[in-house]
Amino acid sequence: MKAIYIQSTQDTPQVTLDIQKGIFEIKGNSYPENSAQFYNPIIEWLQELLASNYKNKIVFDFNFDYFNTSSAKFILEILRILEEFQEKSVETMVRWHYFEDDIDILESGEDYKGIVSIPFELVSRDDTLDM
Amino acid sequence: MSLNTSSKENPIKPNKETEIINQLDHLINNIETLPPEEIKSQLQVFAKNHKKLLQEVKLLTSVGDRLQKKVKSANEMLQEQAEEIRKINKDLQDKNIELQFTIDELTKAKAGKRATTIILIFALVLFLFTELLESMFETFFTGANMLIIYAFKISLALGFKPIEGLLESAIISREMKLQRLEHEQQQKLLEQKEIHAKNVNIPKIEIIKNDNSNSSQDTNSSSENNITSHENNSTSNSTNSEMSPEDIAKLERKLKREALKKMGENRE
Repeated sequence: MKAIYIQSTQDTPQVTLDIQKGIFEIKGNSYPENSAQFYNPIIEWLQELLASNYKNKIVFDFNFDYFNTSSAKFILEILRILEEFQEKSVETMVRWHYFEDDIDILESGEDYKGIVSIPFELVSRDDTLDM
Repeated sequence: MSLNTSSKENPIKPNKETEIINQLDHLINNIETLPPEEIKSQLQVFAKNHKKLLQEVKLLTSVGDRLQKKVKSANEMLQEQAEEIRKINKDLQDKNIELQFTIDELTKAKAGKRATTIILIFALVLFLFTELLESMFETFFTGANMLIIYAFKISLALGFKPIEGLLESAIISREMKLQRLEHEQQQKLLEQKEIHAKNVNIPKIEIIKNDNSNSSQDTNSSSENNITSHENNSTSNSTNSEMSPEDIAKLERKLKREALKKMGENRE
């Protein structure tokens, strides 16, 4: 399967989905004008991977600085697909990164953690390391 | 309730919500023909999907609330800052008025001092002049008494005060004119600085043709992004209509020094 690399812009996050390297990551700001247009290729890629009998461990990193409500819906959709991986006995894990002082992102992570039934880790980010 | 709101964003693929509603419609339409086990299993699927949608709605509401809260606090902070800026502006205006008043007073005092000095010199010259002329007057007005000479002297002495006043007002108007010119110059300088600040983000790179090491050094130090050309060996200021930030800073410093010097003189 071809890897997906999307460069970040002011309103869209950086996306890296690479099964060869084992990297599954969405990072940055997410408030695109058309969230469906941005997230559908990612969701389709994941569904394709789900159908392809992929068996390796998936560690999905969400590293958001900010996201809008429509992005929140698609993030949940991604998490639901990851749940399906789990149901198919693929070891799946979510790492939700947040800045220590960003309560909003932390609380959103907690909300997602309460909804999905996959191992969900909330990881505090250090400001100085990201600079 | 319409569930087709997001279908506008993605017209090709029917969204999950619409799909669930369609499935339920299908179940309702065929409920009489379907066996009870089938109905039960379809309702179980519907309940599961409904639960998922509820979770989604809860999540979206909570995310929306957080964003709303964020916007509200940002707005409040902006309002507070705007209020602070307004206060600072008002204080600055008051201080400006006060400063202008002091400058005017100083200018008047300085003009008065100058006028007095001029008048004193003038009086001294006149005194010497009249002393010289006195003998001439005495010979010219031989029959008359000394009253004419005294009247001439008194009229001269009385004339000093109005002359001093005239001189003072002339000096004040000259000073005011100078101040106005200085102010206009400063305004122009500020405008130039603003224009430069707007243009500074656009990198201007031209070839330096000058062999003069001094002027090329000046050019290099003028700005990292703004390398201007010098086609002749004259100074950089004479060739450039656009001033570099360093030139503007130099000119500003010069003007400040002059203003301070003037204020010092006035205090003296």
